[in-house]
Amino acid sequence: MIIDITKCGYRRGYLPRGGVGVFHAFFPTANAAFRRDALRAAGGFDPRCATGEDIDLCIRVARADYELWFEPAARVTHFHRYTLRGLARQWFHYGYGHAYLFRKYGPRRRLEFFRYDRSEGGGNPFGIARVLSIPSPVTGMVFLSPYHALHLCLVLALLGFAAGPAAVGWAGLAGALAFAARYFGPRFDRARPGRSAALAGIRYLADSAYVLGGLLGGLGQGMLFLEATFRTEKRTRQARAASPAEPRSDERLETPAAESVDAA
Amino acid sequence: MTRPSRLRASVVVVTKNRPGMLAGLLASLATQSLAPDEVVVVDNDSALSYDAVFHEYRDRLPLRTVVERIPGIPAARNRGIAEATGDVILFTDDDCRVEPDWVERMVRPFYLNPHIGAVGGEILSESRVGGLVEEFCVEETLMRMGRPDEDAA
Repeated sequence: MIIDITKCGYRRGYLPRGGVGVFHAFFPTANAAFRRDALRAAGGFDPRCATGEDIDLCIRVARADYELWFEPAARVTHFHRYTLRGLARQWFHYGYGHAYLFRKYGPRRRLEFFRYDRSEGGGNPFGIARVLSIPSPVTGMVFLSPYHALHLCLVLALLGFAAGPAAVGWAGLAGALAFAARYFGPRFDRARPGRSAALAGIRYLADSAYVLGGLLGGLGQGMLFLEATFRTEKRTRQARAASPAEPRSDERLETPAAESVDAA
Repeated sequence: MTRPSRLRASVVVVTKNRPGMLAGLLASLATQSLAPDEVVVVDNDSALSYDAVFHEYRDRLPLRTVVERIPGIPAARNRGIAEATGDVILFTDDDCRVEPDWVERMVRPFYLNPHIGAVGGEILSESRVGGLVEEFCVEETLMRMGRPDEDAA
């Protein structure tokens, strides 16, 4: 449930009612509607959510055995002042709030690792895969991405040059360069280098705010929480069945495309 | 589950210190192809007055206004749910504008399939500032909703 629509790209139709680990489909409340009975069954918004109360509610509505329908023709325009400061603050708060959701729905005393699923069209509708789930005294969610690998290598390089054998430092530096290329490279448009560099810088700032917010939010929840970062590659179109033109009476989503959210 | 012959639609909006923005939203709600049965505005303890805005729209919309002193969006939205009487409750934000067929399109799936518990729509973005930060936001976030085809380009 941590990743929003932002990284999913829904199509018109039913959304999967299961999640991948704690990643779940949801509708931002800037444009969402609920059946009163579903709200009653789900129990309304959770006031303990700093952010992500819309994700939390959609999870509970889905668990109450109601379908989620995405209707892109119902449009809302959001007027916003876009500033770097506002962007950083917004993603910091998203990260911070998501830690609570992981604590609420995620497994206890397990360390789970996720990454973007690069297999074309396969996997799951979120394009996210859980790569490992192991018992651990510390509860945690770790997202693996070039961003995280880049910083891990930088730490390694600093340690290597400061205290350890210099070879470790050089290895860390080489790794950092390689992952920096993976992080910045795929989106770089050679025809517009200045613009590409600026957009990459903005992405780096947003990712950093998101990860930092998640880390601090996770500490508050007594867990290790390494938030997902933006995709480094342009998303490939996912192969999925054509969406129904209209919802039909008594229709249920036939095959839950993803596993259920782990029981709290 | 028996299907009611008509689903009453309540729009719930939480606002704080943005009467000007809210007025824009109410204007877009006043010209809907399917008029909402009620519009519940929850003032989350604003310092600024909404009297002028409420006065202007009281005749044009089935407006209900409440003040929720507990800070925070979840509590304020729950207050809106408690105050709303509709069978379907639509949420949007005070810094948004809805398209003229928004209520109709959002409510329609609930009629067609009683198992549908939630409907979400598309969120477009418009900025008065523009620039690269907006470009980034549009590319990375808002425009991704329901537009995978453009996304793949």
